Amino acid sequence: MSDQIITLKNLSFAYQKENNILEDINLEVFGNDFLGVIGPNGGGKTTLLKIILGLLKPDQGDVIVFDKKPKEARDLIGYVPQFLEIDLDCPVSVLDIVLMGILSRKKIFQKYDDQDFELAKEVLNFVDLWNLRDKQIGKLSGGQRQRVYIARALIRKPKLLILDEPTASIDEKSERDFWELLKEINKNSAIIIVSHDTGVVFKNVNKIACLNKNLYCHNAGEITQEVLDKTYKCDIEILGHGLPHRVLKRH
Amino acid sequence: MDILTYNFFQNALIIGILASIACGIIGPFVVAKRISFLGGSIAHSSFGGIGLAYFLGFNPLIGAIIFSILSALGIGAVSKKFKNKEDAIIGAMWSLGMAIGLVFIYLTPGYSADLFSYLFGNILMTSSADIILAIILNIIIIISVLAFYRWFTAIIFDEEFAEVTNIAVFPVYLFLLCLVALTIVILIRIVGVILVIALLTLPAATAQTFNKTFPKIILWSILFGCLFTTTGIFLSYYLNLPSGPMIIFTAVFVYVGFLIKDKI
Repeated sequence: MSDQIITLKNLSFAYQKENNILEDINLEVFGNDFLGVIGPNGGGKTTLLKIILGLLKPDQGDVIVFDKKPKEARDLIGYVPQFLEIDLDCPVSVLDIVLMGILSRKKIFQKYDDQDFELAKEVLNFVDLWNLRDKQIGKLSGGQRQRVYIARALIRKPKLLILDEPTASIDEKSERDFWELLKEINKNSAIIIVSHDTGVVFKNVNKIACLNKNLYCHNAGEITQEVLDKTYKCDIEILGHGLPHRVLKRH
Repeated sequence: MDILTYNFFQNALIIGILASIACGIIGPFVVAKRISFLGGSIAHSSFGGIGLAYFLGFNPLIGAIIFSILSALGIGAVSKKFKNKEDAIIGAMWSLGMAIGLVFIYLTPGYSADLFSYLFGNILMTSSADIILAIILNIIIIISVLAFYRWFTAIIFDEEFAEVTNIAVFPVYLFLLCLVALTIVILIRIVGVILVIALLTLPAATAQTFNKTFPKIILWSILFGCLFTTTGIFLSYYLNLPSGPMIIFTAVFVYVGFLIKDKI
């Protein structure tokens, strides 16, 4: 499980020419990593994820995911997008949504079979939502919706789970449950989670990447004073305004 | 009820039901994806094809099919390329189709008496050829939706997620737009180019006020479509007013009723 699954080498990306949002990024992710990517808004966190997912192509540098090009590795990845962008009026049920995770494995006219429903049941039980399977998505609370999107990603049996700002708009209790859930998932799969909520991420992950155009990576497992100082330095450089102090106090 | 024995009235009721099936199936996707104005644009572009058909002397609905499909593909492709200009592009296609249609009609010698019916619909002029065309288009729509139903819902709900699971989002979206175009062609006979959006969206929007999943919304949309068109046709006959507006009045009246009921 500790094979290297992602390699980013000297990677740069710009939406507009000569205005790099990512610059000379180097990153290695291993099969059992739980990586938190932190940094300010506009620091390139979501862009980085989109490159790993093959939604954007880097201007320079290499991206290797599971020894393949990003697009070809998608079958091994589960993705939980920023869910603020999702239309809550959409007339689909929880079960419909979870099954969307394996739709690409179906042919046209081909219906979901018993095996698919078994898979859906398994992941919905895992996130504790099986009894809400027929609910329309808009009828759920923020925390429940988020677990739906996690289930939709997990039904793909991913070797890597990628989450983009998943803790936005959920309450504190749901957030605690959420991190417990992720730790459970991390037993079988690597996780990359993007968040601007520095403090909570620090407590839960085993690797931290600070991203603001440039990227600095640290092992959270060995957060000693010495490493913290290093992180702190990078944080100050990256976050700039006050947040790093809060991080330091918590440890 | 003597009126029911007249052939033109039977045709009107039949095409009303056929149109209700088409817009009942496609309308819910349009409403959920929030692309009614894209539908309006396709409808108005198809007027270019109607004008061209007049000019060259073939069935205007065939011209409408060609233009509506081309504009559906065009809008879909161009708006993907220039995502942030989608709104302006939809507006441009909207007017461009109308402009093309008007030029061709101006160039066609003689006064086109039933042109008005393509703009505002005249269900009482439905011919058996119109009915056969509507049946064929309905069959295409039904088979396509049976095949692609889950792909449509997936790209409507979350395009980005569909993309990262390697679903061919863009082709599926274009295909959906083509089905919208075919639906619009059927509806043009009923309510005309100008009033199409209402019939495309209102049955689905009404159904969505009290149903929360696509299959149920589709079923209820078809029923509402039948209710709107049939009621409109009878109103048109008894009040001696044009059928298109009568159908739209009925649809808006019922929709607003359900909206108010929903809010209380």
